[in-house]
Amino acid sequence: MSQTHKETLLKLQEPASEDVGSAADYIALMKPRVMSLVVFTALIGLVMAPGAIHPVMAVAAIALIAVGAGASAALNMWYDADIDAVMSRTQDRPVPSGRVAPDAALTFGLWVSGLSVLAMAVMINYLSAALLAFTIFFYAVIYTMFLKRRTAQNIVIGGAAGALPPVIGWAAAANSVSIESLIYFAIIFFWTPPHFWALALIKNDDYQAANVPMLPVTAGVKSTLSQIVLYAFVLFGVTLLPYALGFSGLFYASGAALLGCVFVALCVSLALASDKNRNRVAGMTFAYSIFYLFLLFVLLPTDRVMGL
Amino acid sequence: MSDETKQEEETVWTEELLRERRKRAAIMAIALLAFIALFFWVTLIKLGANIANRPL
Repeated sequence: MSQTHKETLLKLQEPASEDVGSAADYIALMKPRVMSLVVFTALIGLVMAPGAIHPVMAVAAIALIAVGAGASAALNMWYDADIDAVMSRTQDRPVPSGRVAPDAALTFGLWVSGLSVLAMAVMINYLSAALLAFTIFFYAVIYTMFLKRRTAQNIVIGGAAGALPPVIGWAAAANSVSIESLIYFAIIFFWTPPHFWALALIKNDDYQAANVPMLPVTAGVKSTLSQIVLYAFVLFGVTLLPYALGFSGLFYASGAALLGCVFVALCVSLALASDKNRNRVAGMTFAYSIFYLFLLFVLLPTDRVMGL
Repeated sequence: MSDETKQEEETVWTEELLRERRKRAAIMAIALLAFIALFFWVTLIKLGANIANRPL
């Protein structure tokens, strides 16, 4: 073996100087908390779809949706590292904190995205693979690269990416897109703006410092509050569509109406809150919105089991 | 950039960092093995269904 070849081999065995990310950092790169909501809503879409899917294939489909969502989150963190570094909520993320190199995050995101879509096509069906690919593209490119830094409607339009998992879950089981799965999409789509704007009100200074045109930054607090109330009312109506169109029974309708009334009441009280209390009520609205969406998607299969 | 500055910026591979790196490699290996097992299992299910439903 020549001296040069030996040196090359030794050099290859050395860890790349910037690649110090631990397994936990790479898991954090996939936004596991967001992933849990994606897994949950995709699972409900899959369970509610007509036809039977083998349990192993159901597990594979949900795992691939989770991995695809995680990969798009990694791409988002790669692109947004500059603004994440400015905001208190995000400055400890793996890329801005320097634990994962930007190139490593990009490579990881691209490989995992590609593999999840390819595996979905081979293992499940082409429709769910195409929907997964579109979701990753929409979140990583349309939302992250185009909408987020350009328009106050960023999370309204971008919310479509977060709303697609139940449609993918449905497509994995039924190999189709139906009115029912589109209603699940609409529920998450109209839930996203009041959920995010409640958080944006609390983190307004952060978004201002990072120059991200969230609605409270561009249109002011008052206009954001009226938009939150407006979306809460629209969401209330949309959540009753499964009952109105005959897909769900009275159990779902009464649960959704009750939960929706509480959400509307919280949004109205947020709009009426004094400057001193606003952040506290916004925090409550944000926390309740997660609970609200979770329970709505629990009600759907429960209603079917109860058959009311 | 001078060589000295370059040297300062290079990561010092402490025992802890190397341990983390080994852990990361082990987790990646487990994830890959799980993926292969899942792929194999799904293949068996699809193959079984195709044999059961073939035209006679």
